[in-house]
Amino acid sequence: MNDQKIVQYFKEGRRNKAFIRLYKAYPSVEKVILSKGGSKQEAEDIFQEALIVFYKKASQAEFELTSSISTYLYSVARYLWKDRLKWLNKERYKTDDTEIAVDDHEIIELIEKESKFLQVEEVLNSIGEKCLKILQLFYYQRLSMKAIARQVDLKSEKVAKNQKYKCLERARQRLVTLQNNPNT
Amino acid sequence: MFGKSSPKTRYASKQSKHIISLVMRKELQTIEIIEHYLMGKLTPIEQSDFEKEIQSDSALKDKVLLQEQLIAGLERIGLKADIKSAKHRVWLRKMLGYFSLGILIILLVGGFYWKMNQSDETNNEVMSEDVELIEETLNTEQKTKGNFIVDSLQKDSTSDAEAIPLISEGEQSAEGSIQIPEKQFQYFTIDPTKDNVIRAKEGTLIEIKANSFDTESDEEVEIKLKEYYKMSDIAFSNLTTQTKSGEIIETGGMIYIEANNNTKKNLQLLKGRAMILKFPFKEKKEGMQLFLGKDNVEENIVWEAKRSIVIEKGEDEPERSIGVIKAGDEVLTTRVNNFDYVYTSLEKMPTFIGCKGEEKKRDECTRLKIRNYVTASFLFPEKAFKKKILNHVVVHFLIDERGFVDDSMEVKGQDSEINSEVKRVLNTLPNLIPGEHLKRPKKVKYIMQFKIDPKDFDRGYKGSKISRLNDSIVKIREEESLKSLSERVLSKTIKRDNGVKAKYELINEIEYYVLNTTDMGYCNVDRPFRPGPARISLAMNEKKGDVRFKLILHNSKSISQAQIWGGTYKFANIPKGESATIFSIKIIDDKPYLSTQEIVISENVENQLKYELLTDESLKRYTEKLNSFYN
Repeated sequence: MNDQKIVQYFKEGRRNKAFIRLYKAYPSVEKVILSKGGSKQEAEDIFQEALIVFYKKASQAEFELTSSISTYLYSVARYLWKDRLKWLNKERYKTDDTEIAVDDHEIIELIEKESKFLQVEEVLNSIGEKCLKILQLFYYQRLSMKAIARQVDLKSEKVAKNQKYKCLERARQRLVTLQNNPNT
Repeated sequence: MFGKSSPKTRYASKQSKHIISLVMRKELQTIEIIEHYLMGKLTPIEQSDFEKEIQSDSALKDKVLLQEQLIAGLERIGLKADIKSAKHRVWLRKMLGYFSLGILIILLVGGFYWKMNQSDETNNEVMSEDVELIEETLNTEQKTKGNFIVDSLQKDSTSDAEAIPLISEGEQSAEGSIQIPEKQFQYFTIDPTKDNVIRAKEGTLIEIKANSFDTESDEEVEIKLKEYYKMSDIAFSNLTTQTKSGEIIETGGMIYIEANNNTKKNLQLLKGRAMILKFPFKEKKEGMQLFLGKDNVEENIVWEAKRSIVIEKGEDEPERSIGVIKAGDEVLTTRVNNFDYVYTSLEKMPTFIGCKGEEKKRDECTRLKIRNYVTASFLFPEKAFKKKILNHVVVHFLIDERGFVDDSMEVKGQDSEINSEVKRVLNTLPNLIPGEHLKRPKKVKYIMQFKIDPKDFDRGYKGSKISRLNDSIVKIREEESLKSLSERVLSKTIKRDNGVKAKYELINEIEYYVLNTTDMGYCNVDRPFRPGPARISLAMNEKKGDVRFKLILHNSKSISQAQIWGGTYKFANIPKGESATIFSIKIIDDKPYLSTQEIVISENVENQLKYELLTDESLKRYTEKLNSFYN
């Protein structure tokens, strides 16, 4: 894996290319998750989460490559798996007594931060497809409102902007409701 | 800009559609600023200002946090989609690898078949026919089926095919086409019962006297304004410098101004209540006068000379020329509100003596030194000290064009004695080197927060220590000790006097065409193009269509538009022998294309325009080009 190249891809916003290369690290992650009692699907989920964590790390302004990316992904995946076992199944967790070389405070912090967004993801998945798409194109793909208007077939930039505002408002309200009544 | 960000709740109590829309607009502005902040689009200075504002406004802080979470959630959903798509590509490559070994041929053929189907679908998605008005979609949420990126990818994951992301890299570059830029309105909210001076982004000053509008109501008036100084702005906004009769004039700047309040649109100025317009210039042109813009039959704006007194900056009113008004405190507050809109950051921020280095570093150093200065000079008021309460104080103050603290300082805190002490200390702040924007000294606003805690004292209530809040970590060499800073205060009065002298030199750099008018709408300060050269016509040999031809003179800020004559485009009344640029915008398939051609005006210039798609890059290039002829 050409680590520098991957970081470069992220910097240029070519996430697809970067992720394709990063997938080379998948087999070793899969192997370890399977050996620790996970399924293939679980391995994929864990790997996906590890990629997100790495992406977040690589997006930090002060980011510098200190270890190889595959080692990093491997450590994050191991930590994530251990964490998941802790939640899912105490028995299995107890039997997994291998020491994980993740004492990286930063990794744990990033993982914990990400786990907080699961709820937000849920809310966003409930606001309607078109709404989600508009917000995504704007905040993630970072397209202009004009381009978005074209993509979602809206009459004008103005309509798209208005729509974006309403969608964001809806997501915000749902999130506020959810956060204020966590049990409902 | 940020002053607008806190929505004015006082509107909420009233009930009216206009009011709601005004509140919503302000709300939108808040969201936009938060968005810029979270997406890293603010300059470092704007950012640190905004962070300070967040610290002093907990409702705003909550909003920022919530929006941050939503953006992070959107990012996760997007990343997952990207990862899934990458996974499928990897899978496909692996399959292709097998293929080269001669295995799994059938599966692959199936795969390709799938892929083709998929790409057809993707196309359909982009051009989707089942367009619904999104208004409805929003109310009947979750009903719409289909063209969502994550969804199409999830669909893929159940089939063994390569996912095609909705926006591939290739498409993005082909999609680079952008629309013709539109000049944005600037908004100013004023109290019509007071005198107001509005200072717009590009330097126009507008002075409106108290009770000038034709409204009975005392409610706030919103001024909508556009400024056109740059040739690119004029050309892209489809404006010209042609009079009603087709003569060319030379512009010294134009504006569009509109005033509305909640009960009435398009407020007009009362007779005898003219506003004063000041258009800044660098190089004085004689014979400038006011022209007003009127719509002609083709819905273009044409200019009509208006009888108006042009006052050049007079020695008798230097204060007014920089937009300082003499009025009571209330008016000053209004003025501050207006200024907030424009200035919380400048190209070049004010500099504290001793601060050096590049802009960001210098700015941070200046802020730190201002803080240190306050800390060192603060004397704890005795009564307040005895209360033993932790005090938070937020100060809004302006550093004016001379580098002095402006009189309009606002101090907010629990204890009035502490407030006035902070005010006193800041008023003794040594003269800073003023901030600059577009090479001109400008006023700039600072918002600072201080935590003042009696516990921090070791020597009674004298010589306080004010702990710093949200200071960025700056390592600067303290070239002057705090003590020497305090000593400098002693000579403050003298410094002020010196400062006033320096001030004159600075002010003289900003000069304005000053004129007065009671007409709202389009106003233009212009003079007729010199009569010398023969006026001729130039045919563009192009049939009527979705195209606009402009002719821009190089030696005079003038622009005219080709009209249809006998079915083709022609420039009329243009001066022979002048060097000029033909600038053309053509719309093909809803996409704008641009072209320029430099010529020397004569009857037999050939149309050699080569069109280029309008993209961010070409827009930048054309903008630079159009502006390159003038200083």
